[in-house]
Amino acid sequence: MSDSPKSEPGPAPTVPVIAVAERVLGTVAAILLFTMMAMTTVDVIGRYLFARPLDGAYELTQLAMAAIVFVTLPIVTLRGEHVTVGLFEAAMKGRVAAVRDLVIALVAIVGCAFMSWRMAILAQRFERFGDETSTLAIPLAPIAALGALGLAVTTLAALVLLAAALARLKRTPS
Amino acid sequence: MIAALSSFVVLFGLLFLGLPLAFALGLVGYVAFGLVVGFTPAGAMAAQVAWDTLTSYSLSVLPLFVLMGNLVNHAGLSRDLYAASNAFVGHRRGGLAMATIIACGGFAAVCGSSLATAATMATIALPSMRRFGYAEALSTGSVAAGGTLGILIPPSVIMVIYGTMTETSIGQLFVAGILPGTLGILLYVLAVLTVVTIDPKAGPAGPRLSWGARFRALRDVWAILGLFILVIGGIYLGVFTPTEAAGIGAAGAFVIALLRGSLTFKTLVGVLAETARTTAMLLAVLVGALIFSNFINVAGLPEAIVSGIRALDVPPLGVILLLLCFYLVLGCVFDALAMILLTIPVFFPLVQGLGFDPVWFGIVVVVVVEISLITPPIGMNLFVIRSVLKDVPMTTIYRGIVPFIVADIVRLAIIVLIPAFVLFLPSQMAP
Repeated sequence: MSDSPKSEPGPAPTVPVIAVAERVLGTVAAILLFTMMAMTTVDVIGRYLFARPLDGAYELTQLAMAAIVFVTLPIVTLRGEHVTVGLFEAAMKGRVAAVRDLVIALVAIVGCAFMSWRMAILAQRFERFGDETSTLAIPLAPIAALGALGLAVTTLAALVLLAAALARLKRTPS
Repeated sequence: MIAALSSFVVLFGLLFLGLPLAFALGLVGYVAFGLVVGFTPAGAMAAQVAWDTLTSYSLSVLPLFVLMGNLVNHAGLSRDLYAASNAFVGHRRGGLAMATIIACGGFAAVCGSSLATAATMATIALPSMRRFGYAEALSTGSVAAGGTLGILIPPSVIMVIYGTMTETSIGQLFVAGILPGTLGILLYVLAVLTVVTIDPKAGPAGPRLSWGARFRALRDVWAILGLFILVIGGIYLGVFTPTEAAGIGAAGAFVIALLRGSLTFKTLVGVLAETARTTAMLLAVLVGALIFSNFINVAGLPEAIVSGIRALDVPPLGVILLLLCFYLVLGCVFDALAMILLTIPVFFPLVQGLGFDPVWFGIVVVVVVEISLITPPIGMNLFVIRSVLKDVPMTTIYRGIVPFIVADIVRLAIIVLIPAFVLFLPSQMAP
């Protein structure tokens, strides 16, 4: 279930700018994930073999995972890799499918823009109260701000999907 | 109550239209919460749920275990696993199908996803069984069924999600999956035996290998066994938390892939980025589900159902049986993840209120979800097979899966009637 096969592949990023953005975001996520893995391993080995755990590995893991998701969400959305129930999708074709993709893109735009705004408010609140992690005193506001940014980029990705759906609607005869 | 039920109707409508789960759940949950409590608190709740979920330490097992599975698969160990199982049972009648089941079980021990297990084994085992003249029904059935073991034999994505939604120990759930998973392998092998006893032509015997060749084949899979023992053994003995185990497991898989020379810098970045995408997708769905589940709780649906069932005076086991029937029917048309996310917020309080063990119910739900993956007409694993073997008619795949569904029902009955079978291992764990 972690990788539901899609009935139709998402629109491939044909525009060079999008392809580059996708590569950059993917690489950043890859580095974060590798760091998360290495950090956990060093922490456990340090704790058992040298009685010296890595300070703050716990909270770094938490923040790293949030960052990975914020950075990757635009790619997942752009590629249309979100899980669906997948019941009648294969049955929809041509214009109906284009209209469906249009509606999905619209919902994604509204939803992600809204979440981006709410995440920005959360970042402001963290900033105002000076919220930080307990061991390393890492401020939470920048991570939440990254979330607002990531969701804003995801909104852009959904706009690309909207444009693609509109173009398909225009191409397909009714 | 009315509000909650109508929200389900709207939600199903959106899902059937093809709206992604994450958006549909989040949208309906937010709007409905807003209508009941007010839109300002609803917005704040949505952001808080997103933040809490994405920064949840216990959920960080997801990316790490997914990474472990992807790395092991990338290292080509799944192929070795099949070759090794084949070396031991391939000379028997139906042996290749049995080897498929066993290899699926082995791969499941390092992979937490049923679709990934089925997809991996499909590309390896199906061509091989075709070469030996296996009946398509038997070969496709064994891969589809074996693949379901991915979410029962730890690690398991579904268990992590169940554990998060119900605040049940993920470590205990993992350990509880070991015996039912092993039973699953045995019963599936029995199903294969039954099929070839009735129709010997369905699974002709392969060549017999010498013991030397067998142990040489085994040499390549020690790594998988070692990883599994390290990861699950570590959780069992309380040496590390599930997240730490997942990190160690991923690092171990990384070292194995490096040693086997199958990893370049470019492919490593590819595997990592793919894992990150799977993580983002899973967590987005989970955020949506938790927003929706907050609404369900505010609307008081679980309490209403609990008191409704109490009033009916049905015996607790009767309630469980009703739930199972509901799940089996729902499973014919619903995807595994969707089923868990939609039903757990409503059913879990009920089951807990009746005094059942949360770990036991988690395993029951996972087994039911496994069945849903292979029940026609909509079973995700069947579609995975179909996408690999495009020339096999869907009806053949449907026919082939029947003996395995029977095996699953037997296993479900054992698990439901003998809770100790599930709960014995977790009860022995270090606290």
